[in-house]
Amino acid sequence: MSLIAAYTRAVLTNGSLWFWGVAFMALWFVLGGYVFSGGLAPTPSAERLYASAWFAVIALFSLTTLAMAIATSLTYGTSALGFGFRYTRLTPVRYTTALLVAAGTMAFLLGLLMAGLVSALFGAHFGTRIVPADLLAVAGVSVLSGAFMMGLATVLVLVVVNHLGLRNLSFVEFLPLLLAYLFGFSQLFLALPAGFLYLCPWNDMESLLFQAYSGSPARQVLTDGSSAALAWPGSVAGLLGWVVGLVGLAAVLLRRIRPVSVQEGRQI
Amino acid sequence: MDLNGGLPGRSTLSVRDLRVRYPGASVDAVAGASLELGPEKVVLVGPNGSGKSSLLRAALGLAPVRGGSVAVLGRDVRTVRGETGVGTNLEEVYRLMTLPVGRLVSLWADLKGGRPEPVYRGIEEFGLAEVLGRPLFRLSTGQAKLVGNLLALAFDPRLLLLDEPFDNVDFPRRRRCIELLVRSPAAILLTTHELDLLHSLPGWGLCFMLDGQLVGRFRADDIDRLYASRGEVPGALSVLRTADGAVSFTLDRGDVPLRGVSNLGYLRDRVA
Repeated sequence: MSLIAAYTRAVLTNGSLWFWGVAFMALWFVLGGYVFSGGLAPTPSAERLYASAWFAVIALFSLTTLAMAIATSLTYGTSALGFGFRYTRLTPVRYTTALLVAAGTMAFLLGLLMAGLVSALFGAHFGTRIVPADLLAVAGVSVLSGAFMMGLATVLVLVVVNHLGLRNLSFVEFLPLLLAYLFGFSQLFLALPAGFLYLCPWNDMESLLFQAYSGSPARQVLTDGSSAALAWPGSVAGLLGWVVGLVGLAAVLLRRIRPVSVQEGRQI
Repeated sequence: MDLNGGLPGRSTLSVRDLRVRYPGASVDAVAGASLELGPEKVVLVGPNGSGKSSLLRAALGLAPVRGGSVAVLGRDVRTVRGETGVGTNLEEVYRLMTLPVGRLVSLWADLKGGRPEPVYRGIEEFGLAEVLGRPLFRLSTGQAKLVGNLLALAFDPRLLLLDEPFDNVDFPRRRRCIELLVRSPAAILLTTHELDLLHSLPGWGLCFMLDGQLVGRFRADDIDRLYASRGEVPGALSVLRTADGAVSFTLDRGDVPLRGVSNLGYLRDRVA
């Protein structure tokens, strides 16, 4: 069995990922579709933009659970990697590639599942057909987001493992989700500077997911159609820059991985 | 330089003045140990906490080395990459991800560039076929140890670093394991806390480890002729200097015979 096949299978059969990344996010969609949609203008365009905003934010959270799963797995595998790089044919590049493929595959599924859930739940509630404007773009942005999450999780864990000690690990494992909540909700209601929105990877993902689903450009304030539109090439460039930087840094840090016992981590 | 009277020939493991200290610890787990291993088999005996496993982990690149050096198959452990000739039974190195044993063997064969079939046959031969569908952490301690031993022995290793390979292993399987190790063409450094085991390893080299320090080389065949004495005895084969004072190892005379002593920690207490 190749490393790519093993990792992909392990990620796809990770029960925790399916619960937090899909089942828990479905609950958010039920709330968004059936509870919080009371004051919405009953027009197809308003309903589409509303559903798209929910898709963008919740799909972002769903994809972030991937970073948490990878971070946890990596924490338990530092000794295996330390040994593997020395005494097997495993290399940091090979490991990074396997993780990228696994994360990209799972992200692809998460993106499509989130889109399917929004279509089904919001469509049923509003009694109209709300399908993604560009399903291929949804899939592409999801895969790119998966690569970002893999790079982010790997870099965060390796910085902690190699330099700070495992006592900071629980914070680092949750950091991607905390940032996703912070930036994801901020763009919903706050007018953040456009430059910041292009540079911030969470906002890049959110903007691109919104545009892929709605077919309209994301706005500086996602729920305010009168705010300035964001250009998707800028968001793609911003996200790609982060992916390349993080994955490259991950491959470098992996070369210096310090095997640690998970028991060094903080316990109650 | 031959540090422990090892066999001449190509070095398989060279440990020089090794110091290992874990984060937060106030003392070294390995305190200046040296060992030279050629293409031969050596058993390293010491009580729990004496530093045996830490020495093995340092050789595998898994322990925080604070001083000295370790070279494996002629390559510095800090810089060695892609050397597939080293096998170990340490369970932690097989935790790359959660996989059932069957798929773990297959993945490891891919990473080592070998074939999984001999490992599957070994697992069946040991009566462990039922573990193939379960991950390592779901196995009993003895089952996990046996799977680790079989993975270590697989894929044509030139050096085996085995940590307590018979812990929690029942007698018939332990005997079969010993047969496999004796027959293996690989150089072996095997740690154990059981002195009784030495009678099963004729022809093997023997070292002792106490308080992070290593002493030897003796011969496992001589275990019934070895004695330990307090202080530095003239003409001693080796002298171990611990925090409690020196312990000398001699042949055919001395304070306490190693014959009949089951645990080296107990021996030290008696000598002290």
